[in-house]
Amino acid sequence: MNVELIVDDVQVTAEAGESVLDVARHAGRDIPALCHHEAVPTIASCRLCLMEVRRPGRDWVQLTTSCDYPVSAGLVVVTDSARIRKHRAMNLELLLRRAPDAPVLRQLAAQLDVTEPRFAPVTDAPLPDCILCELCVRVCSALGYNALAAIGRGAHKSVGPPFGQMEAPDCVGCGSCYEACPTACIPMEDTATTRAIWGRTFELLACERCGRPITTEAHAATMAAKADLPVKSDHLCDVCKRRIVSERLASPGR
Amino acid sequence: MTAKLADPGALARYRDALGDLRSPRQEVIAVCVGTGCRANGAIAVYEALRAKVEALGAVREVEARATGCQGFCQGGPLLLLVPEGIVYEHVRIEDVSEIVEKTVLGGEIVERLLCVDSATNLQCRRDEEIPFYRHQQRLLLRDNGLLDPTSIDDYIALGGYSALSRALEMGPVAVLEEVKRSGLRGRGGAGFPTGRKWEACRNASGDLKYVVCNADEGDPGAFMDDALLEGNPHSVLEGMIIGALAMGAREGHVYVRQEYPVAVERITRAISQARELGLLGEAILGSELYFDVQVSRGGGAFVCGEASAMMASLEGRRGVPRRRLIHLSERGLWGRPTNLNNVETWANVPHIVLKGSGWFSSIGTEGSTGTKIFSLVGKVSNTGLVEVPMGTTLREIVFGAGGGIPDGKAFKAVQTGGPSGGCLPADRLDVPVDFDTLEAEGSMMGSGGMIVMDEDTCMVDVAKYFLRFLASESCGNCTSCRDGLALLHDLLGDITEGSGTRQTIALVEELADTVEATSLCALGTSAVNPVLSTLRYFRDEYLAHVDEKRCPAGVCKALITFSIDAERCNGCTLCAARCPQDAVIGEKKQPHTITQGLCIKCGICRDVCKRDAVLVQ
Ligand SMILES: Cc1cc2nc3c(=O)[nH]c(=O)nc-3n(C[C@H](O)[C@H](O)[C@H](O)COP(=O)(O)O)c2cc1C
Ligand code: SF4
Ligand code: SF4
Ligand code: SF4
Ligand code: SF4
Ligand code: SF4
Ligand code: FES
Ligand code: FES
Repeated sequence: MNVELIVDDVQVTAEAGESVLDVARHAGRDIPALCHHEAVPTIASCRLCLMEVRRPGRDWVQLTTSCDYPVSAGLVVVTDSARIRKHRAMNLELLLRRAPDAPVLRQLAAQLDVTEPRFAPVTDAPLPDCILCELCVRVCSALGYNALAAIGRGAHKSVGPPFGQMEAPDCVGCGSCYEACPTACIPMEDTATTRAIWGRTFELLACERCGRPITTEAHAATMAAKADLPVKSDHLCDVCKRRIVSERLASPGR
Repeated sequence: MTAKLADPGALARYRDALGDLRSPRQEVIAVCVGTGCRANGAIAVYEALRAKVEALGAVREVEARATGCQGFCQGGPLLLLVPEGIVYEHVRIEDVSEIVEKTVLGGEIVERLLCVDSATNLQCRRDEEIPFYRHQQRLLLRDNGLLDPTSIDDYIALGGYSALSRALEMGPVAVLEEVKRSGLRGRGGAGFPTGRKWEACRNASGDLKYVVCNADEGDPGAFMDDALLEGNPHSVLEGMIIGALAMGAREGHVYVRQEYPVAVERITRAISQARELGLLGEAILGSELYFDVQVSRGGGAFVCGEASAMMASLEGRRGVPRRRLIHLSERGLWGRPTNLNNVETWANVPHIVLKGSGWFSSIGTEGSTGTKIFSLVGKVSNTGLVEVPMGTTLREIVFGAGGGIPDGKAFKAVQTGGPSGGCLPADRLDVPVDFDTLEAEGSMMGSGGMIVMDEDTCMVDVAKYFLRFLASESCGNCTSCRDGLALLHDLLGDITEGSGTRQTIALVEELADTVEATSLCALGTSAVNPVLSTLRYFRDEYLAHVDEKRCPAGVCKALITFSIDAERCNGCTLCAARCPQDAVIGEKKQPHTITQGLCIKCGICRDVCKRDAVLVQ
């Protein structure tokens, strides 16, 4: 079902249930949002995607996070205001204590005029530069591996292998958490043949054609098991797969 | 095994039969074995008393009964003699023989065990003469002193489950209307109108609906829910059964705080007793109502008391709050319509059904009906559970029931609403305690915690103390709450340690504003109350810390010095002997002095000096 709402004085159409954040972004608004990903459940932790919304029939404006606020008919949304910027900036300042040099935060700091740090940086975090957005945890769990967890409370919260273990027993080394991390703070090291991540070291599988590593053997094995294929099916990297397709298309005997 | 009660008539007959056994004239010595009295040795007193009374045999038929908290924990171990209403306080095993011989057999009062009204210095013979009780209206707590919480018969004999009979007769719609008209608002914190919540759950579609009882009670120092669940578990259960009838719920859960093993045991026992009598399960009292209840142990975190975190915890997930886009009443536990109410909210329900919404709404104020139980602690003469009509003033609670501030000290502030409540000063003592007024004054009802502070309390230090608790209980999800609260705590630390400036105060205000405006759940949004309310009412004290580097209450160690007034000191040497640092020097019978470099500001010298010669500046 489609609904009509107003985003910064412009009428837009959206699907009921979509988040205000997604709708505002589709409408071309540039909204800071560090913990949101359309493919995983929302937890609304960064508190940056703030907006002001007013529901039809209500005369008061509510300041709210937009990633966990669904659109509804007649909603009036403001994506930028002095109040919004003020609170976004303060929450950004809090995040900068955890990841002072992360490019994504530096860029937002420039946008929101956050200059001199007013708070001492966090120095005792187990995973430096982590902003505790749990995207890694959520991505891993959406993939069905559930190898990571959030543990602890308050400022001592951390993410990593469950129960504070040194290594993640259920990790297959797919690297998706590394890709999802907004501050690129997850240590992942690839050599020509191995990948080290979350305390584990995995053998890498090479592309049969070009020899470049595709993914870890453990990851390929679970994928194959899921797809019910023999493990040694089609070990080609994306580039070679694409090349093969175009070669076939181009071959005259087709 | 007892036969199931086939219909309301059978329940009435069952009660009549008990009536013969449990006449109101039956002599009972009710020994409180609630949490507070237990800690003071009440169980041993009860056992000694029971042995003694049993030894009387046929000479005199007296029953020794162990009850839940009777509210006046300050006086514990507490003993109530029924039907006379005599209350003995601070009873020890050594007193037991005397009580039995003098009072039970001789009809004579043991005067030294009576409470003394500190205002008149008169001894109080009966419960209603005790100032602590005199200022109360104990709608929910009265029966705690009368019944054995492990016995369903006791509850039934006192009229228990007749509200359920009445509700079955009225039917779900009429019950719902009655609860709506009563104006009952949730006692768990937010004060949401209970009837409206019930109605939404009733109207939600779905065959399987849940009712949940929130007994997570995480506020440090609060124990009203514990007292109800331990002392009168059937009243809570009866409320839930009536709620299930009104909403069409088939399953109930009681989510009990990890640290309440006795409450778990009592409610578990109550449930199985109710099942045996056909008050739970299939065809309750012969009606079409099916309802059953399970008990779950809490996740051990303060935040698990928050509704969405509790649902997650009940479903076996990490107890973290999530935004509820759809009300619990439509999609709660396992995605089904769910109604969550606090223990005390449920305990009010049987009273409303039995005595009517008109009666209930005549108690309290227009916007906040009924009574509220407060857990009165801190610097107040009588600590314990105080149940008063909504709208009672803070003054009546603190100085009436509470008996004022001990040791001749002056009142400074009272914090209402638990750790995230605000601190109200003396000139707010006459505000009526109800949901809306407290909120307007910068505090809240919360679940009913009430902490009294005297003149020796530093309000900056107090705010820091509560922030420490809240920061450590934050679930860690939201940037604002997780890191904002920890930083607020640190900034207040700067102020109490003397490195704060006016800019620190401004930064505290700016940060608190964002924490309040942008956190996901009420833990974060209300956690700034202690800071904001103390800044509002005790700003001068903050300014003294930053401008003059002075702690007016003499609490913040970095900002005070201890010295000895040579005029007053008679050289008794007591402080010199007790000082852990050997910082006090002086000749016998000569004024002593403190070596500042050695002093660690522990305050022992001030505490031991009988001549008030130690000065704190
Ligand atoms: C951090 C936090 C802790 C809470 N703890 C409790 C609690 O221990 N007991 C309780 O009844 N409600 C608690 N609540 C309130 C519940 O979320 C909910 O509003 C309440 O149980 C609803 O019942 P009521 O309508 O009968 O008050 C808490 C709320 C928050 C935000
Ligand atoms: S690399 Fe390991 S932890 Fe990261 S997403 Fe893949 S399986 Fe999960
Ligand atoms: S490691 Fe990265 S993705 Fe995971 S919580 Fe930290 S910042 Fe977020
Ligand atoms: S406000 Fe605090 S307790 Fe509530 S969800 Fe956010 S971090 Fe957790
Ligand atoms: S405050 Fe403590 S350390 Fe200082 S002089 Fe008194 S007793 Fe000694
Ligand atoms: S206890 Fe008091 S009176 Fe005695 S020596 Fe110390 S300061 Fe003087
Ligand atoms: S993107 Fe909405 S809170 Fe992070
Ligand atoms: S525990 Fe005995 S009166 Fe409260």
